[in-house]
Amino acid sequence: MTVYLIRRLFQAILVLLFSSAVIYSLFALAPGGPLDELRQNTDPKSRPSEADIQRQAKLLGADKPWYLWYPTWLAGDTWLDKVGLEQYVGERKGILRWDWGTSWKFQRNAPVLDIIKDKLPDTLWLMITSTIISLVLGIPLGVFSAVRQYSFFDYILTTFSFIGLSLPSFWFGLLIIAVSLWFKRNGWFYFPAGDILALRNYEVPVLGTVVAGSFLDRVMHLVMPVTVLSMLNLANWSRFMRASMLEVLSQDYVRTARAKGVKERVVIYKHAFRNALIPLITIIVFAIPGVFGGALFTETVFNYKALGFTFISALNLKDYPLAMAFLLISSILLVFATLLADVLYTIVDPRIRLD
Amino acid sequence: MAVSTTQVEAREAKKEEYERPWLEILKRFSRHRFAVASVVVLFLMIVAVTFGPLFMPFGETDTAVTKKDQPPGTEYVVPKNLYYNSIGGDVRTAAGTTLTFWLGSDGIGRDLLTRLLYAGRVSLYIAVAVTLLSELIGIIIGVMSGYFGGLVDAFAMRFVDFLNTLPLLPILLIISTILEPTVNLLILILVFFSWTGGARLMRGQILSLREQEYVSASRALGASNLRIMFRHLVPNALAPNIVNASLALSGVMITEAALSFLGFGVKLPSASWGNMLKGVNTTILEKYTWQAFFPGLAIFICSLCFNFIGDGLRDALDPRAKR
Repeated sequence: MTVYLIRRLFQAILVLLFSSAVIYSLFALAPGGPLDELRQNTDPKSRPSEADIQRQAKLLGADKPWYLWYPTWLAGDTWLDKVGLEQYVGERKGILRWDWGTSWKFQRNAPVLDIIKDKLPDTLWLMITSTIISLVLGIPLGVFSAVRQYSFFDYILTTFSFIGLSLPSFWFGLLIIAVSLWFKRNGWFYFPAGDILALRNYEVPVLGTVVAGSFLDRVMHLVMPVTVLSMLNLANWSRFMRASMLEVLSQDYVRTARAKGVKERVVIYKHAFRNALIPLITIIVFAIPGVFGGALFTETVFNYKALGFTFISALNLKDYPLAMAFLLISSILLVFATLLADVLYTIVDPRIRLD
Repeated sequence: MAVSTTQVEAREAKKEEYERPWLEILKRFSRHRFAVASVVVLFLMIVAVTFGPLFMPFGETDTAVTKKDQPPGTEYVVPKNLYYNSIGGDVRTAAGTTLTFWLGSDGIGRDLLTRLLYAGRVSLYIAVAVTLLSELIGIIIGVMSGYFGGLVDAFAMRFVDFLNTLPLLPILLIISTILEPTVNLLILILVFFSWTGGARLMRGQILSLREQEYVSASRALGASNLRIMFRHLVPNALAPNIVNASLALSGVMITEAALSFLGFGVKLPSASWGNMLKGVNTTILEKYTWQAFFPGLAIFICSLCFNFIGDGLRDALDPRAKR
């Protein structure tokens, strides 16, 4: 087990190094960059001189040739004079020494890590709420429709999950925004669309005045994005749970339990349900990297300015250090989740051995 | 005697079914009503997007400057001749004809239905091309990896593992930012990240099939590796991949739409269902809802059809698998 873990960890690190190298080198191929905008400024008064641009480039670390970008990002540039590249020596320490670099454009010169720390709580609110809601609803729905296979309820759930799977989440988001706008126009109860918190107090029928920045305000803004995310997860997870439950219910030991006269309730909830939960480990564990990457579209549609939104903005602004940090964190989380799922399986299911 | 005749007939019918497995599959498929309906709907949509634009009075980029943001059903008198293409040629619609925006017009006065049909060509083309190519690559790599085993297998599967540890959406977004792909390049990028599922499925099938007697038999008869793989193994292992492909179609379609929606997929001015939703804001949602409604509805219907057909195919091709 220990040997296996060490080997897997080693592999994971290699994968991370390799993938980040490939992607970081690809950035060099990208047209445009943070300095193009400075060059395009034609106003004679504020037009930066070539020296200004060079200084800015050095500050951002964009003055280096492309093959030095990745080493700099990885290991910093304080050591470059030792390999004969004195002109590129700087003060960066590199990701290996916990220097995540500074943003090029999104918030110029702000440390990338600060930006992420700043945005993370809002994403966590969104993702944790929707994950919990989907699990709390999805597990019972899946179990129930497996127990009553081919019943009316089962058909309804299957149809619902097909619809959920086929619904483009961003379009679903747009639709419920349209509905809430229509409710608002008619003076009915509505949920506000856009932003994480309101800037000033607003009136909602039934609830009265909602104070900007209060907990209620946050909840009001969360309802619609959480609905969209949960709808997507619910469709997937309830189907998954149903399949897993059906699998377990067809096992021999369930038949044995029934044959020896155990009550149906006990068979289902003690014998079958507990074992049917095992494959759910995958889903729960892979929800962790999903926290980082899962809400890209939903956050954009709802103008919910958290991590996913920041990543999209960073890409649009060609703010590569910020985009790279986002990618690195989600890769690490994904690798970590894969490993964690494997380990958890061996703990929960003694039949599985890793070696 | 009457009884014996019926028995004979029954036996003969059974024999016929046995000889024509495709008929049996078709019969099982047709039992899934949603799947059959989906085939019809999808067929109609494909016919519409393929031939529809030829019969539309508007071209893809024709604008009616005076008729921006018109609701569905608005009538419009064409002020000047519309041509088949922007550099002239045959008259498509003569000046003075009264036309109707059946699904309304968009923000710069283009007919939404026309745009929708042209966009459907792009979206369906991408979905089908990506799925076919990635299944093809997946099948070839899966067969080789399962059949030869050893180093080939180890190398291929490590590569699959590597691709699977990459966070798909962020990577796709980053690559599209960097390469600013055309439609065909976009297809290649999507293929690069989506062939792994098919490869794994195929490999699993081949691993169990290659030990069967008929493989040894054909090897004893002197069949080459290529012949064993592609004449004997692949046809027998294809069913799960067919199901996988039809379900993947829906995923690819939604992914492409989402990328285009964010501006990272199909670039304007060519339309795809995803990028028709690009730039939808609260004003459009409140006043011109049809502009946001119809493109999304098209994506939804298509991907629902793909999912139902996949489900029907699973019932038809793998009768042991319970839904």
